[in-house]
Formats: sequence, C-alpha cells, structure tokens
Amino acid sequence: MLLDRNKYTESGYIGEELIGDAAHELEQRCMAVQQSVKDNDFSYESALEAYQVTDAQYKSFIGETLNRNIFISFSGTTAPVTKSDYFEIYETMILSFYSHPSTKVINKVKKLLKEAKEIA
Amino acid sequence: MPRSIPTGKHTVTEEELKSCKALGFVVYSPGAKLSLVDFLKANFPGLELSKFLTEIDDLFKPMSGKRLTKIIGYNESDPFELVLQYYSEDHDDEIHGLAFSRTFIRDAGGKTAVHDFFRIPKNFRNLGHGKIMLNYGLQQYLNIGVDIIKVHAALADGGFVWARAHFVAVRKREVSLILASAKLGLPREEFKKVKEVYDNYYNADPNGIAFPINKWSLIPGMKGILQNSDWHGEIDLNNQELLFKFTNYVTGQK
Repeated sequence: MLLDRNKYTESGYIGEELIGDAAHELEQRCMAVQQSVKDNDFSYESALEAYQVTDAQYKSFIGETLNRNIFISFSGTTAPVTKSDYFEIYETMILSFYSHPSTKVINKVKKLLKEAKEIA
Repeated sequence: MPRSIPTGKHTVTEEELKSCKALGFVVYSPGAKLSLVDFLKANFPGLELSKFLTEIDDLFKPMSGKRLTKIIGYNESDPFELVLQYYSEDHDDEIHGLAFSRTFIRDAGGKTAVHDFFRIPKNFRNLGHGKIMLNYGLQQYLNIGVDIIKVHAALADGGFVWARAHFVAVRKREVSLILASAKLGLPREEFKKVKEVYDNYYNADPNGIAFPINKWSLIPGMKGILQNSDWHGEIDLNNQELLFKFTNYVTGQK
C-alpha cells in the first residue's frame, strides 16, 4: 500500500518555484558574498567577482539588511518604529565608527541627522 | 544537540482522526499495538494532523482525475516513523502523475523529516504549489520539533534548486564528484573559485557532513553542473542562521 520511499525523488520543479524574482536572486548572491567572506573562502573582491555582485549592490544589501534588523529589534513593541528611532540609531552607528570622535565630528553628525529628520 | 522540543501545543484526538479518515486517508500499520492517536501523542506531539492533511488534500485533490490513495502509515518500533503519502493511480506517469511522501522519524538522534518524493502533474507545475507545500510542512516541522529536514537532490534540476534552498550536502563523495564535473565543465578561473570553496570547507573539516553547497549554486557557471548532479542534503533547523535563510528563501520574505 505504501509506495517505496526511494521510488522517486523531490522533483526539481518543486524547488524551482522557490527561486523567485531577480531582486530575490541578487539578495541571495549578496548573502553568498557575505557568507563566503565570513568563512574566509575568498577575499571581499574575489567574492564580489565570484558571485557577480558590484560593490554598490553589496553595500545596498548591507544597508537594507541593517534596516530590517532594526525593525526586527523593535518588533513586539506596541508603538511602531519611527523615523526618529532610526535616526537615533544611525547617530550611534556613525559616531561609534570613530574611536574618539571629536566635537567637530559629533556636531557635524548631529547637524546632518537633524536636517534629515526635518526633511523626513 | 537535538532540540526535538515541540513548539506546538496540539494533541491529536480520536475525533480528529475520524475527520482525517473522512477526507479519504487510511491508517496503515500492520501488526501495530498502539493506536495512531497514542503513537502520535508519544512520538510527535504538537502535530496538527487534521490541519496538515486537510491542507494537503485541498492542494492535491484538484490535480488529478484519477483514483487517489491517501495513507497515514506508522511504525511503532524504534526508529519510530510516521509516513504520509498521497498519490494518484498513475503516479508513475511523469507527465500526469501525482506522488507525495513525507516520513517523520524519531530516534535517539532526534527528529527528522524526510522529503522522500514529490511530483505533480505538468499542468500544475511552476504555479507556486511547491512553495505552499513547503510552508505547510515547515509549520508542522516546527510544531513537532523537527531537528533536520532531509532531501535527495537529483535529476530534473533537483540538484541545483535544493542547493539554492540552503540544504547542505552531507556526503563528501557526492560533493567530490560534482567538483570533478565542474573541473571538466568550467573555465579554469571559474573552477578555481569552486575549488577554493571546497578546499576551505574540507581542509578545516576533512570529514565534514555539512558542505555549504548553496555557495556553489550561486556561482553562475555552476547552475548547469548542479542541474545534473545527485546528492543527499539536509537542513539543521536548530541552526538559527540556516533556519532564517531557509525560511527567508521559502517564504520570499525579507
């Protein structure tokens, strides 16, 4: 009554449906770059070349991924994440890039984000 | 360390089993002493049997005008197995046949879901049914605390698409054969990158059982090589990073 479980396999077209559109495809290639660099398969430049991703595409992917992580980090709060929350996080990100940011840098960053908040 | 902890709270009842039988499912377990309900309670708590089988039936029933066989099989001795099969009487017809089989195994190593086989009639391919089924399955795997999903990736492009879906290759011999094909089929520079991924993984772990074949699948020249490959793969659902990538891939969510 039960068919032999080795009689067939999981058909390729079943998985084909999962591959998705061009944007999803690019995201998958960027993820491969990220993983390969992390695992020391390739240098960053070689990984970009292997997966045919440009430097700009990869940076865009990293930015979008960070944004998603910010959103996920706030999931479960009753109030939605606001642009203001994002800007506060960006401020910390930029300033933490410098080990000892000067007053000039701090003021510049604050001014820049203040302007961005006003435009937003 | 296997998780095997069900996240689902559901407990199958005799009433629920009756509703499954009303869909046309038959219980198959020659010589079993335990009832199916008791077997599920003991081995796969959390499984939403009626919900899962109704989803399967709703998805597959319109695909075939032929007589359908729907089976819930189980094996009450170690390793404990639950087998769900759904197939049309012309299942061996590559164009019109419908055949689906999933095996859930519980043993000392944890819980495994084996994707035995899945084929659908040509008219229904590439319409998203594979994705829907994988989502239905994944929900139940998490409900019952499955540790590993296993698949045999082969022929009909399977070797490529399952690599793309983040399954890792567990048998080095099979991976080495694919590498040999790549050496014959790829330009030298492209093969060099393929080889670097292979060397980096197996130099660190010569007997590794989780080769990240996904990395190969995204190197452009490897598509044709993997489409003709044959390998055994699995996904460790306890690996949060892999689970995230897999669910992201299956659901298309960002």
